[in-house]
Parts: sequence; C-alpha cells; structure tokens
Amino acid sequence: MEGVSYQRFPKIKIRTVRDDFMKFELRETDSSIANALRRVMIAEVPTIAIDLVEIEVNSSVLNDEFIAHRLGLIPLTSERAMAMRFSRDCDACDGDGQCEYCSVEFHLRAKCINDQTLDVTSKDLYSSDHTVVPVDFSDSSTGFDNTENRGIIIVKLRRGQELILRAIARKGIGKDHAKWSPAATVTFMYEPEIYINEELMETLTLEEKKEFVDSSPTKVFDINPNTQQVYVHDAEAYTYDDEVLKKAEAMGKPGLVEIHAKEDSFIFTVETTGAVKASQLVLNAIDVLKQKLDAVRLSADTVEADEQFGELGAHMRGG
Amino acid sequence: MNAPDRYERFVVPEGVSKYSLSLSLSLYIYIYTYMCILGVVREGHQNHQCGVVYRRARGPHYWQYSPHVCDFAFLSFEFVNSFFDENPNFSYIKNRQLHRDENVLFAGYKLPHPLQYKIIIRIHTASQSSPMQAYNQAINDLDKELDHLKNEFEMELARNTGKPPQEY
Repeated sequence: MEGVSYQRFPKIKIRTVRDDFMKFELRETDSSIANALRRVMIAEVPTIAIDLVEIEVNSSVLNDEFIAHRLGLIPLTSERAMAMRFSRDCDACDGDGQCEYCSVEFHLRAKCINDQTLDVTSKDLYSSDHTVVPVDFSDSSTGFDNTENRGIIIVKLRRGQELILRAIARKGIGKDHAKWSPAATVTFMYEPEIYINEELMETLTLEEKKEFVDSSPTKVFDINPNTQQVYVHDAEAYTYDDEVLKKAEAMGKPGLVEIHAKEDSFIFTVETTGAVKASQLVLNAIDVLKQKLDAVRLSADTVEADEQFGELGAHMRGG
Repeated sequence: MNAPDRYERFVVPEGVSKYSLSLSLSLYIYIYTYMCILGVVREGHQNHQCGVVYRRARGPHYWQYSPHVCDFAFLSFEFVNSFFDENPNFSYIKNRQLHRDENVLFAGYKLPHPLQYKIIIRIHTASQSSPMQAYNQAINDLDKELDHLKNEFEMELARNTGKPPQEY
C-alpha cells in the first residue's frame, strides 16, 4: 500500500548574493524547514580547520595551547570539505596527517631577527594542499579594503623569539567545535504583515499620527507629506517589539494597526566566515539534511517486519 | 567531569540496536512537524480514548509537540497500530480538515534525558495503514521537498549571478 504524497513545493527568491553574504526569501514551507536549514548551516556543514598542532619551538609570549587554539580558529578554504573524509572514518590512515583523504598539513616557521615586532599571521602558514589555504580577506568582493593585506595575526614576536610548528587540519562540523562552523551568522525572520485601519487612522490629528509613527523604535511607518496619511514605510524593519500596538492602546485606539507574522514566509540572512561561499553553504546544508534523511530511513527488513505486523493486523481484524 | 563526551552527539557507539541511528534533532523537528501535517493531533483532542499515551504537560517524560532544542544520536520508535475502526472519536479525528493523512492519529517525540542522545518517536495510525509507512512516506516527501528546494535555489542563483551586487 503506497501512501499518498503530501509534498510541498517551497519557493526561493534571492535578494542579495555576494561571496560571504546572502539574503533570500523562503516561502511556502514551514518554520521546521527554515529552522532545520538554519541549524544545519551553523553546526553541521563540514569545513576544514586546524585540529592537531605539533610545536617544535615556541619562545613567544603566548603558550603552546594558546597558539594551537588561535590556529584552530583561522578559517580555511573548504570547498573540498564535503568530499573529504572525517579522519575518524578514514580507513586509509590513522589520522596522523599523512593521508590525503582526511587531512592537510601546514607548516609555520617564523623568527624575529630585528628590533621591529614581527607579526606572525595566517599568511605565514604553508599548506601542503593548494586548495586548502587560510581565507584571504583582501580580494573578496565585499569592498573590505585591507591595503596591508597581512592575514590573521597569530602571535607577535620580538627580537630573538621564534615559532616553528607543524599543524594538521581536518574535516569537522560546528557541533563538535565552533572552529568548524562555516557560518558567521545565519538568521531568519518571519515576514511581517501590517494592516493599517485607515478609518481609525483618519480620526487622529497630524500631531497624533507623528507621535504614533515615532513610537516605533525602527522606522516601520511614515507619513505621506502630501496626503498626511500614515503608510507602511518598511514592514521588514519591524522587530516584533509591539511598541506601536502599545502606543495605539495608550492613545485609546486599539486596532489602529494589526501586525501578524506570516507563518510560511521567511527572510534569511547568511554570512559566512569565508570558508565556503554563502550560496554554497545553503546548498551544502540541503545536502547534509538529505543525508540525514537517508540515515533515518527505515531499512528493508523493518518493512518486512511491518508486513508481518500487517498480517497480524488482518488476522486480528478477521478474527 | 560527568558530562558525556562531545563526540557522543554525533558518533553512534558500536553495537547499537536496529533503530539507533545517527542524526540531529533539527531533522527530527522537521519530521515531527511533517507528522503534524500528516495528521498529528496538536492539542488535547480526547485522544486517550484511542488508547494513546497523551499528556499536555511539557517535560522529559511527556510527549513533546513543539521543537525542542537538543541533539541526539539514537532514535527509537514506538509504532502503534490501532484497531478501532468505528470508534466515534476516531471518526471525529478522521473528519478534521487539518489532517492531511487521516490515517495518522498521533505523532510525537520525547527526549527522556537531556544528556543521553536518544529520542523516542511515537507514531500512531489507524488500522488500515501502518505507522512505518506513514514514517517512510514523510521521509520521502521531505526528501523530495529538499530536492525541489535545491533546484529552486540553483535556478535563482543562476539568475542572480552576473548581476552587480545590490545594496541591502
């Protein structure tokens, strides 16, 4: 007996897309999908980050653990991460960093030889794999103008201090440690639906209208200078703070405006660390969710057991 | 410290039973809500008359109806197939427009302990269908929905790339 499908067909509209940022609308689905997508983007899309550090020489002011932690937090370009193996699942190696399927090796060698303080940055990390390198913020299309182009500072060295280390980067997910999270922020908001009761609004004086418009901490409403009518200036600026509703109540005009959150319409904001592109992050999140669905599909022998159960049911019904 | 190891959240230990699977709650919330659509009874619709364990109160030992923030690694199911064909309450539920799959009488989950990565899903269906079918159907529908979402997204992306970056 094949069940009836209740599949939904969600719609997407992209508003802004850049390498590390995107904003889009998701419609005709419910909050469970939106939230699943958000949570997966934050914590379950894999990236590559430094996970093992062998320090050979460290005469800097920071201790070994501190440096290892800082290295871990450097975002690495992770387009390859979806195809890579987790080192705990890797058959080809014992996770010591010699394996091309699950790890990437980095070397860092820095010594300060003059009186000027030396900044050791992510640019000093040498990768064994050219596809996995520290994220370069200088040439991104964000318009973020970093003329010095020095990467992320790991430690500062004074004359005579030295840092030599070997680091192994591995695939991981944000749920394990936040360093593997590809997302800087992922948020969604319900799209607000605002109705103005025009009849009631016209009973207000211009002064009162101004007061009403100003009662919202964000600029949601405005007054048309010609007609002196209150109109919705920017519905999405509304933060569900209820201030205008309270104001209307206080003015003795309850029901002046009605505001609802649309239950099937979401506005997403995705910002990444640079490890993957924002658009790729969303696609990877969908793939990860699909993999999870496959993992919870009941296996064939379960369905067989179910058929027996069905026979039992038929027997019981018959008897 | 007595906190469980971090990896327990997503690594299933060896020797777990058939229904113990590795996944995350976000998926579950999703399945759960889908079950709602399939015909979950959201609030107290005298479901106890159908023999379903049903409580309104929220707590670890009660069935949860709303998304619950946690992670888990195991999943176990309680599948119940009831044989009340002509139960008046059943017809009442059956007639509700809300229920898109009239065979699913109940779907809920509970998280017995916040430190154990285990969740129990209970699906209760009418006699002519099986809860496992309802479950698999929900998973298949979700899978198709995600496929659709991916296609839509890729199409939108193709439409948007090449355009100059807009202000936001």
